[in-house]
Order: sequence, then C-alpha cells, then structure tokens
Amino acid sequence: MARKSFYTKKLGAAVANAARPESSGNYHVMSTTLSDKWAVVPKGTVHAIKAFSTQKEAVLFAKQKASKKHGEVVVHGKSGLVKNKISYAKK
Amino acid sequence: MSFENNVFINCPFDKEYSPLLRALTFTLLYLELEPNLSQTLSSSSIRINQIKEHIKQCKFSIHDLSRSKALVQDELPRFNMPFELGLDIGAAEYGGKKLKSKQTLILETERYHYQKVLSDIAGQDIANHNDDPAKLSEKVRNWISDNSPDKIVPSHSQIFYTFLQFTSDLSTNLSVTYSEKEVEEMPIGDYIKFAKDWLNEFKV
Repeated sequence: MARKSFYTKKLGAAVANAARPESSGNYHVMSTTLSDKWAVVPKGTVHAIKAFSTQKEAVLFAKQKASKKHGEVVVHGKSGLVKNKISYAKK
Repeated sequence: MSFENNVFINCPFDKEYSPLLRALTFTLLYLELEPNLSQTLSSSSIRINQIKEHIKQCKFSIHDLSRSKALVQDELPRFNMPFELGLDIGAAEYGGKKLKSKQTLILETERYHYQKVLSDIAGQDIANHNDDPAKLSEKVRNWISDNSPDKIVPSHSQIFYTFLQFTSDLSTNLSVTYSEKEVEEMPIGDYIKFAKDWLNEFKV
C-alpha cells in the first residue's frame, strides 16, 4: 500500500505562515531546560521576557500580557507538548 | 547539501521514539544541518546499500542505541543500530581522507549503560538523554558546537523555544486536515519538510 503523503506545498506554506513574527500578543509558556523555571516567550521570538518558579505564575503573567492585546497564551507541559490554549481574541 | 553539513541518523523509527526523533531533526535543521535517515529514502533499494551511501555522504553521524536492548521481558534486543555504528566507525577508520574527518556521537538513555555491554566503544563521544527530547536536543547542540570550531552555534534555550513554537504551529495548522493521531504519527520525511518551510519563515 502506498504511504500516505502528509506534506503538500500548500500545507507547508500554511504552517510556515504561522512562524512569522508578529506583535499580536501571543505568548508561549514553556519549561526552561537549563534551570528549573517556567519562561514566557513571545511568539516568533527566541528569548524569554520573564521566567518564574512555577508554571502558574508564568501563565498568569502571560495571560495579563495577552489579554491587553487580544492575543493567545499557549501553555506547554514539561515534555513540550501543548497542554492548553487560552485565547483573548475579539469575538 | 555538502558532506560537511550532512548528518546520518541511525535510530529507531517507532512511535515511542518519535518525540525524540522530532527534537533531534529539528535541532539539526535549526543549526542548518541536513538530517539523513534511511526511512526517508525510497523503499526500492536494499536498505543496507542506502545506509552505506548515507555513511559515505555524511560528516556527522548520530547513533541512538537506547533501544538496542530488550525493553520488556522476553523481547529480543535490536542489533541493527550497533551494526550500523560499526559500519560507520569502520568507514572513518578505513575510508579515504574525507571519511577520516567523520564525527560520531552515540546516544543512550542512561549514562554508562553501553560501556557495560559494548566496551569497545569506549573513547567515542557518548551522551545520555534519559528519553527526554529537551535533554537530547541539548546534548546534540553541544556536540555540534564542540565539533564546529568555526561556527557560531545558538544557545540550546533558543533552539528549544523555537522547537516548541513549531510543534504548536504544526498541530494547530494541520488540525483542520488531519486528526491529532495522524499528526503524531506523520512520517519523519514529511515532518522535516514542514520544519524546513517553517524555519525559512521564522528565520527571516
């Protein structure tokens, strides 16, 4: 049986489009790998703007930032998988 | 890509190993290196010939031997990976001038496990990852940095923050077309294509 092909240029472009840096107020909450902390990283960037001892504190901070700009918070678990998404987009 | 930028990956392709393989390939792509895996080649040629070709074309090799042992009782250990490691070390030892510049990293789950059962590999670069994608990515990044004196290698945090953003963007954008399970089980060749497209945009 032929293997199912997932990748198409159109889908690749759609995923790539999401990589563009933007000032839309989207933030990722991630576990830092070197110190045992939780970092808040704006989407499209590679540097944390703040780190916290607990995930709860980091999520609270990211929510405050995202809510002001009607953005989104993506919370990653320790393993890196997405655990939760909180959106403040205008309805 | 050129010999200098090619990386041969000798590792399992099962579902359990997939998160580690994704972190590994993304780390290499971020560092502008080209992962070469036997799974991404056409199935028409004999597998061992494909592997020999990869070994010839890659300066760097990463061999993950963490699954070359029985994981559950009565299961047989898998010997393909130590066999391919032997071929690779042999190529560096007995090959021409170019192949003598090859660099090899051996990965395992627990520290020193392999030195107990395959003591001849002592003296090689060996690192353990505890089955943790972040740890694996960090060990690979540090090894590439150690073996690329002329290259400025970004920090591990930078690479891993980017990897997690890609992971999120990939699942979000494919969720319309594919189920979560399908995205999780996507062949690694497709994953690499998505990662390359995404990194091209991210690094602009």
